Amino acid sequence: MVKNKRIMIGMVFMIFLIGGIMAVGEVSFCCERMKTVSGGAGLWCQNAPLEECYGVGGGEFQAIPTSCESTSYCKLGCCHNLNEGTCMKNTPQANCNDESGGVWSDDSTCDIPQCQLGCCVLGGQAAFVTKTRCNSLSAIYGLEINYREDIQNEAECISTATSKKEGACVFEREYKLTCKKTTQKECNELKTNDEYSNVNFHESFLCSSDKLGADCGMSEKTTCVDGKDEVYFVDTCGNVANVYDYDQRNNPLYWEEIQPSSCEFDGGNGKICGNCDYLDGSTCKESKIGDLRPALGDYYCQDLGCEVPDDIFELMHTPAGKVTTNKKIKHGESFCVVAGTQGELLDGVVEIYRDEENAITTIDGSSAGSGAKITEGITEVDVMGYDKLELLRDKYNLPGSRHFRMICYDGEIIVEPCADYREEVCIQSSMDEKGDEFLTAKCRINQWQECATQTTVKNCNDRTKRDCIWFDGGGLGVCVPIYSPGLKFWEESGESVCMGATLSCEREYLKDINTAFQGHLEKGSTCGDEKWKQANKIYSMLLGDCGVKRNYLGYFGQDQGATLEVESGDWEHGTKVGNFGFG
Amino acid sequence: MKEKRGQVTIFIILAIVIVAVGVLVYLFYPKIQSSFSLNTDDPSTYLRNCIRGDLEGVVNDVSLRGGNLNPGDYFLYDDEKISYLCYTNQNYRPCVMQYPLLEQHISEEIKINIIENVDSCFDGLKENFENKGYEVKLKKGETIVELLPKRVIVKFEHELSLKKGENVLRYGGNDNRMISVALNNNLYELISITNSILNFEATDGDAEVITYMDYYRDLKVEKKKQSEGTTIYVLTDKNNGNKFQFASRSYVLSSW
Repeated sequence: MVKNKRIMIGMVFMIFLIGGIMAVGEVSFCCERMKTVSGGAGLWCQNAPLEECYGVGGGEFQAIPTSCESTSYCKLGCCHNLNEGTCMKNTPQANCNDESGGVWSDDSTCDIPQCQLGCCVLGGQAAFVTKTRCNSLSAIYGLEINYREDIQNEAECISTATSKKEGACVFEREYKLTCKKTTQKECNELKTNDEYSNVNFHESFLCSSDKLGADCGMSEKTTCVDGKDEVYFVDTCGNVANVYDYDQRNNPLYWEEIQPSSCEFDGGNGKICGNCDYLDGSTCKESKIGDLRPALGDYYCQDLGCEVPDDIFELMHTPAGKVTTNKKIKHGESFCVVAGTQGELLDGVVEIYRDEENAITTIDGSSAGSGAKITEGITEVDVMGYDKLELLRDKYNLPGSRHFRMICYDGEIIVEPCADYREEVCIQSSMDEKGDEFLTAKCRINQWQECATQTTVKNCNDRTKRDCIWFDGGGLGVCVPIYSPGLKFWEESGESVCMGATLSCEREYLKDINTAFQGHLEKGSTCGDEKWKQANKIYSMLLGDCGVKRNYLGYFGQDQGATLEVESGDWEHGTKVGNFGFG
Repeated sequence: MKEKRGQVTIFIILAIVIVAVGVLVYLFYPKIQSSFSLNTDDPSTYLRNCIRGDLEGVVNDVSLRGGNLNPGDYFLYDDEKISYLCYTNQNYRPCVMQYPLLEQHISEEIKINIIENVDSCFDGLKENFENKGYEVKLKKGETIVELLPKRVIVKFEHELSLKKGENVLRYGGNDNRMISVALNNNLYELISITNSILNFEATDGDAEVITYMDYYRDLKVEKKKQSEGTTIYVLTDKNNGNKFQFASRSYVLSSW
């Protein structure tokens, strides 16, 4: 057994060693510029063979036989655009053209004073940019420069722009005392206009306030406001009042001063409450035929959540399955889908939940009444038995299958494929948000590479370091990937990983001088028996796209995939070796 | 009875004529419209009508191809050649910024690809006014493309004078009546967001699309990882459908 493991580990090291040797076999140059397909000047600063470098013969660009990190001409820094105020990281000096306003500095992370961000207030808008860019934008809009270095994040910056103090601007026009909701500055501007008289600004007041005496009053009209999420009441003069709340429609106090919303939109009370919040998943929308009809006015809080569509797999350009769930996904939520599963879960949504904190993986294919739900936690399943391993082998991680992150945003599902060949896996978790579950998913690196070198159950199952699980295999005792990687099995790199499953064991026979060709079996009675063969067969399949498998479309591979070879041993020493291999 | 038959025939013929005229108008309307619109007495209007179509096409194509009309180094995605704006051919390494002055590069790319049409439009303008009896003097100058918030502006430093009798009209040069063409397009904004994504690609090899959509509500950001380590980003303005697409290859994992 120990010998088996040693052989296996040795082979894994060999694979990396051979890969390394192959990588350094060809002399690589640092091309200041590469050639394009058509032979022109192409990409900057790439390591490649000399013949792929551009402009070397004429001395236009450089190439020396070393890695680009070691050269001065491809040293990466920060390119600061003097005209626009942008800062770009990881830029070679020669590519930061000073004629176009580029200034290069020796800090590839752009941690320099010129690239520090602040809040640029531009009228009713704001942008989190460098000071140079703020100057440029202010000039474009013809506005005074208002740059706030004290604001250090984008969210605060954007909220600053919308927090101008407003109030009621009361004035007399055409012998009528009327009112406009505006800022003090705009109200003062009316004073210079002869058409207006008795202009007075009342901060935080609404034009409908009885105290002001203007001709504006309460109304049952509502509206959406540019740049805001909520539905607002409108007074009889057309001014925007407070947030729509059916219960406050006749309350004079609610029409007196600007105040926060008195109702909370919970997704179900859209008829009576207009306190929508975009980040929480709702926004103001005009009610059209078929939409929700509010109790007052023509505007309501539209739910920005998504229904998982039936054609979700078509969105992912794979014919592998069909979603039968009608799960409602909230705006901003993201979830995982693994395209390409076979067997009883073919028609189901297959979701892999990963709770990193508790190290629990849940594979959920419970739609369409199949009820299949498998929870694997390291506390429960330290060592995988055949049943669960067969599930991994037969239904998941099939050749061609891929993980996807699905994002629900603004009523639409955006499909984000994780890296192919299962180099990335989609991990989903749920957060408790105000007592409500909120799904978040992320594509992250599949940490399968170290599995083969783990020799203990504890190290193998350490999910903080790797995505592996211990496979007992009837005494085989090996560490295998949870998400077995996709391999280019038709190429050398794929073959070399699958070769890791080529194992051998020994049987020892005692030579019988009275018989011609068969001795008495002394050791290794289980070597090469059916159980041993089965365990090794499963092991080869768990390593990656090895062995005989159906692919994600359900088709079997063409080749036999696994062979048992029994070689003649050295009868002189009474030993016979059986080699068992899969490809 | 015969009279009635005659009336019916006339109505049928009339209907056929109306339909035929309708079809002809439908088929030739764009040409009719363009020949009318180019037959104008205002040089700015003439140029706008002459250049706009080509400018729109170039801006659209450059946007879909990551800032280059004919990219030299690209990833083929949905039959479109998309430029790499940040690239490394190695695995586990950050990408190298290829267009750190992207805005200037795209302005220049648009200019290069409209300049031929601009020249022929000015030639057409000259001929148009000469045919109308004007004495035309045209001194060709630089063409400048500016990307500004919510618009793309093409300015011409050409000098044009139109003389008819004693009246002389001057355009361009130091005159305030500089000829320019503006296109409503938010390429400027999309490039700003592209720069931000590229900086994340250069440091982390990835950018979170939800963050951008939270800040810019009219924006849809899609990230499409490809099999050999390339990531395609598609930025779409939800108001008008304008897109900007680009490719990046950074911190690629080992299988590729």
